[in-house]
Amino acid sequence: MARRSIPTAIAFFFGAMMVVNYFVPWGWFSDRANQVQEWGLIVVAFAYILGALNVMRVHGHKIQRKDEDWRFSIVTIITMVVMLGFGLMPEQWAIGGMERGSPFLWMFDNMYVPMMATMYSLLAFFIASAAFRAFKVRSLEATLLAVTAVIVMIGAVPLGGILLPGSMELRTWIMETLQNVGKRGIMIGVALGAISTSLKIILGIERPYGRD
Amino acid sequence: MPNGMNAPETTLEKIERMDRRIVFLAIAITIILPLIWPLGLPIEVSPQVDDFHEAIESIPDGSVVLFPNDYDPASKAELYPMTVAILHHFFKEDRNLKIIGLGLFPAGPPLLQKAFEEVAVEQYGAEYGKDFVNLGYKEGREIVMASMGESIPKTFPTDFFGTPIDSLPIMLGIKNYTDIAILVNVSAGYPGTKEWVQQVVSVFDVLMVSGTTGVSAPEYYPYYNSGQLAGMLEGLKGAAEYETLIEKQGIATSGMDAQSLGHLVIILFIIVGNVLFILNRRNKTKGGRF
Amino acid sequence: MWETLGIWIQVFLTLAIFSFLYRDNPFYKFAEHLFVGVATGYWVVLQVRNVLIPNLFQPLFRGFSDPWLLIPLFLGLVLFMRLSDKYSYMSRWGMAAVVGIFAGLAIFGFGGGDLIIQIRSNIMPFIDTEAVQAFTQNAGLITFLNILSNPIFIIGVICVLFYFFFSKEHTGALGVVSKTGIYLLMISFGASYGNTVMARISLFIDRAQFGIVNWIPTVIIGVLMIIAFVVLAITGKVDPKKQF
Repeated sequence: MARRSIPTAIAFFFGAMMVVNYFVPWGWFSDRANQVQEWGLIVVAFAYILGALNVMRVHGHKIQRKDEDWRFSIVTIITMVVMLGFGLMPEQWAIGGMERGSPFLWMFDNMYVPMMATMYSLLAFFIASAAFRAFKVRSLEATLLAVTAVIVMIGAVPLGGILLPGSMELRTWIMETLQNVGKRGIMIGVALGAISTSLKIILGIERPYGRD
Repeated sequence: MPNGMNAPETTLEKIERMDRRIVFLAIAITIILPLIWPLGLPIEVSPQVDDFHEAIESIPDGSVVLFPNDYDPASKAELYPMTVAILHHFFKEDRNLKIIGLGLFPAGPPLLQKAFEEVAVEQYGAEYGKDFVNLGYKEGREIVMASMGESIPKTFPTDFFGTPIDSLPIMLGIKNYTDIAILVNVSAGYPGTKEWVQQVVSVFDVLMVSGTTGVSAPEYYPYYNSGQLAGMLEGLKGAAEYETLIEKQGIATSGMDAQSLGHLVIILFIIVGNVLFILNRRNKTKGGRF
Repeated sequence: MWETLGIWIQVFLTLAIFSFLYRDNPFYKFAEHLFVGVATGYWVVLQVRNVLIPNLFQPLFRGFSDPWLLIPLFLGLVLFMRLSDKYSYMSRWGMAAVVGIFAGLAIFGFGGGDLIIQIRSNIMPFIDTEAVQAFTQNAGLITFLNILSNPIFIIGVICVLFYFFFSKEHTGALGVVSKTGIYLLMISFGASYGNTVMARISLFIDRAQFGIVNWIPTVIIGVLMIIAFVVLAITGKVDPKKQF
């Protein structure tokens, strides 16, 4: 019973503080509520460290059991340790800190940035392949989707304005009015859902943090 | 046995099911060629980009600007050119604007710092700590935004480099959003424009404009329509239009020819794919061969 | 020297990831695993330097200026109990705190920012007299469509909301209204698809620009990778017919 009640009580306490702060935004209570918001930042930071420990555990097991591609897991663990080492070293040390010229920032600029940018740029190819192989207009709804997509794509680029004069203005009208109708409806629906879910979490009816 | 069952694949069916690496090669060539041999197509400025520009022009000289850059290298292609163009706009007319930068994505602040150094320092001689500051990254998303409403120095006690911010001249007298003239957000998704509107604009009534990726932009049009956003930049196209407006053509403008041809090829793929689909379906029902 | 080495490493890693488009291969796997290590290390360093040190450890351990910080320290440390089978239930306490705070902020964030303002923005005159005036002064397709904007918003948003009303079967008048709603939603999704295409192509333009600016390492490393693929295919280490 206590195992279930404690997290529910914690969620209620912190959630209720955030809500009441909107109605009592001054003095002692507001200071405490703002303090609690900072505490949230700190707890989330610990969650990242937990995530890193989990990555080490998973890849460590892969190496231990010599699973498929276990040699690449060594690369993961070594780079993680090196990155942590350089990043957590004090700035006073020659190879420590996060300023321009530091090994930590060098690895960020020359490994993290290009790899992340390239991974996401693969999507350009997959969307082209999907446009050819999967985008089939089998119904009126799909036709509306396709026609709108084509007008938006044509109107978005300079060549579209040359091939189809007025396409940019038409695109702007579609973005500001026609497509906005659907987005506004979705936003109102999502807002109602989010408010009801948040209330259920604070009141303990829903417990997304886990239960016994 | 129904007509067409177990019949050998027709030419059209083979084309419809061709190796997708051919599609990959086609899109790669379409995009690379105009980057090497530009077409020089003219760029027209959209109303929401014009409004973005006007909102920044409307704030008094010497104002404090909050400049959250909430993106990481995954969205750098679309948003870094925006950051660069916006910095040119801040600094090119010597308006003595004070720029407070920060990021709610972990990999954002180093990109912002790079932009500050390449534009503000190298091209306009701006001084760190006096004309601009990079508060760095803070995890917490909406909590960070709400916490800044109480106190920006308490939320960010040190800057990106670990320097206490009360030692930086630019932060003297800055407490919270009441000291900010405009919030210029460059955002990749979550946390970003939506959360800034929900937590800051609707609570503290701060003037706000936003530059976003093409993927996110449609969902922010309701905010632009309702006035919660005073202006918007949409993807690489928005960055190119903004470069045209401030007369500082850069990376975004040079990519628009490739963007144009890329879109045309995708539209062709959709049309050809559907024509093949319709023809193949007709062949199957009539039992014909093509 | 470090800058030059950095460029060559960037080119190698970029091409290693693009090689996935041809087929899954050891270069891609190496880059993928390297990325996980670098990214994880980077994110943890940032949390420690930008959050834990200035917001927790410094105020707590230098002068003990805020003893209340022992609470988030405790809630953060109990998260690690997740790694223990016997005490993993304690990790829920930290998560409950964070979930509670976000839920509390979300109520007024969504309520004030999305719900009320969006409904209020949709309450507008059926006929926009300024739009009518603009059309009479400059008759054209767009000025005509602008006259239709207000009625489309007013009726359209109601139709979309009715589509999501599942307590009654969508037949008769409700059927017509909800059908209109789904058509407007499809237009909305079409606009999103068009913008998504724009965004994805921009991502590749950036990488292509990088490759063109640094064309010498790109060509050299590209040729070496192709030779390596041929060797791997000949020695049977990679199946030429299998893509991913």
